[in-house]
Amino acid sequence: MIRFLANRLIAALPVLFIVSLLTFVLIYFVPGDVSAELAGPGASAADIARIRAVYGLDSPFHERLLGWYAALAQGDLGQSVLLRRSVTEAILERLPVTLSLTALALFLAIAVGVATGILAAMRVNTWVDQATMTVALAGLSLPDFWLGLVMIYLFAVQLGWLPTGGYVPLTEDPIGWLRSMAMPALALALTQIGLLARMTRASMLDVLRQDFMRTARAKGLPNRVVIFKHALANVMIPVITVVGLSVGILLGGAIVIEQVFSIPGVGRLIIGGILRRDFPVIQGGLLLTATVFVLVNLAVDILYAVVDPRVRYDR
Amino acid sequence: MTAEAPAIAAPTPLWRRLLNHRSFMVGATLFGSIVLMALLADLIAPHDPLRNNFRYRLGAPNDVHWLGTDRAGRDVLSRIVHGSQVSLRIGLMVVLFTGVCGAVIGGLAGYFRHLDNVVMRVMDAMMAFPGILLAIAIAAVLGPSEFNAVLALSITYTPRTARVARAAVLVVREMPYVEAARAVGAGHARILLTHVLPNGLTPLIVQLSYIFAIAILAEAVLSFIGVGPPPPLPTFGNIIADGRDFVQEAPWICLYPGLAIAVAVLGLNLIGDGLRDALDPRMKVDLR
Repeated sequence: MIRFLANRLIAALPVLFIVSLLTFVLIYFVPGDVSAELAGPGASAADIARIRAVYGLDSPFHERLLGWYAALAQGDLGQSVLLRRSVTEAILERLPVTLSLTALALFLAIAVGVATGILAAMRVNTWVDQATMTVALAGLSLPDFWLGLVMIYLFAVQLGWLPTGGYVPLTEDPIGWLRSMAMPALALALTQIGLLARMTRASMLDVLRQDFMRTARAKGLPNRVVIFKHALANVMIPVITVVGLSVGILLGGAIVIEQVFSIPGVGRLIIGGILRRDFPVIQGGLLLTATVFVLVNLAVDILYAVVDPRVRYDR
Repeated sequence: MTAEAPAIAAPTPLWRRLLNHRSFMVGATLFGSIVLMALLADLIAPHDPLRNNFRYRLGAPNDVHWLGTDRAGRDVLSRIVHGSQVSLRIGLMVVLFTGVCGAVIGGLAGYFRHLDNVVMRVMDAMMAFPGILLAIAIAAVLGPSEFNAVLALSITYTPRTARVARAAVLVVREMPYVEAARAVGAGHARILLTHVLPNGLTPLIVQLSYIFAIAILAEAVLSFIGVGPPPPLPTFGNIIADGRDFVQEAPWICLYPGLAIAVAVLGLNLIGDGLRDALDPRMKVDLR
């Protein structure tokens, strides 16, 4: 187990290194003169030169790359041009908002998606199966940000049940938090509910065909034990992999959904940075979300080995 | 073609399997209707999608404007009809780019094993960024235009295609006919083009139909955020973006383009499922 953990950790390092390199390169090759843009339309040549020196934009590629890594090693993502403050601080301040939204959406997606998938598989080729799979596929096909707008119109404008947007911290008022998060989390989760339901169904059907399922039934175990004890552990193996990928999609989706519901999270920071070409913020946002994704998938790999002991010996 | 035992009936031809596949036919009808709308846009759009008419701004759906008008009094139906052209064109270009780049990158990584580690680590790293965020960032850095949207989405989704292509090539390269080709002295280029490519194409085609769906959704997000093809040219996404400030008084501006996206994407997903079942019957899950 220790060796397995060490192997997974070592495999994640080059990916993180390439992630940081790509993040740097994307901004390095921005077309046009970044410093002129930062200085604004009315800036003089001297102003532009000063900005270029302040942000180190006049140094050659390798020096800027080394500077990027030297700063990263200290957890420093640079200064935001627009906010005039440290990108690391600004991101950390907003991170709980985005993570709590993503976590709620992930919880919804797993709870509803897995349950639906199991239900459909146990009633395979009946109207239950067809109806749930049709809904799942429809959910997979709706744009989440549009669904958010439709929900705002229905539940906030027409029915007045929920606020149109905004954010209440969980620690201040849990009910208010849930009210502000319900629509964005549901809009965000729907795609993943569809995806997980389809995956769980396919995986469950695969498991139901296995010999050990027939054996379990043949020795007279009640259906409940067969499904929840023998089938479920095996069903979850491919599903866990999909959950790992879902985190990345939900995190990206959260960034967009935050725009729709005016939620002051990392997404609003990053999109604001992208629209006003605040490059340190873009870099920080890309690096942060990708790192979260890599770490989550590392955790998924470990979980995988816990659920299925065979995995530990395979590699 | 290998000789087959006479006892085995000839396999049903692909087109017949597809015609008999109910969800494929539903998908083809849904997506086909959107394609038809895009092709005939100039004929069927009742109004000029770009003409402002401030006397009728935010007009509710009526006899003249079936789906209402937007904040500049432009006809929403005509904008959706013309927007389908741009959205489908972007989706198609992304499919072509990711298809070719993914096949080349994944094919080489799968065939030349010494390239595999480096190439796939870079693909892994690219896939670590949330897809939509990477696309938004690239599109914003390049500047808003239709071509840049295509480029941003292609860069974002190529690793996914490359992965599928690589997996397919890993299977095909071990096949006896590849070994036979090598034995009679065929070069790498010949083996790749005449043996590996046609035999590894199936999963790639299935993947590309899903990529088409994802690209249409992602284009809508890019346009919604404001880094897609610039207005006044309509796309599904920027019609929604135009209407978002008027959800309260004019919900029809947002509602209908979203439905058009849903029809197109649902159709493509069904087509993908149908192709997957028809091209590779082993993948079909069927318990009766």
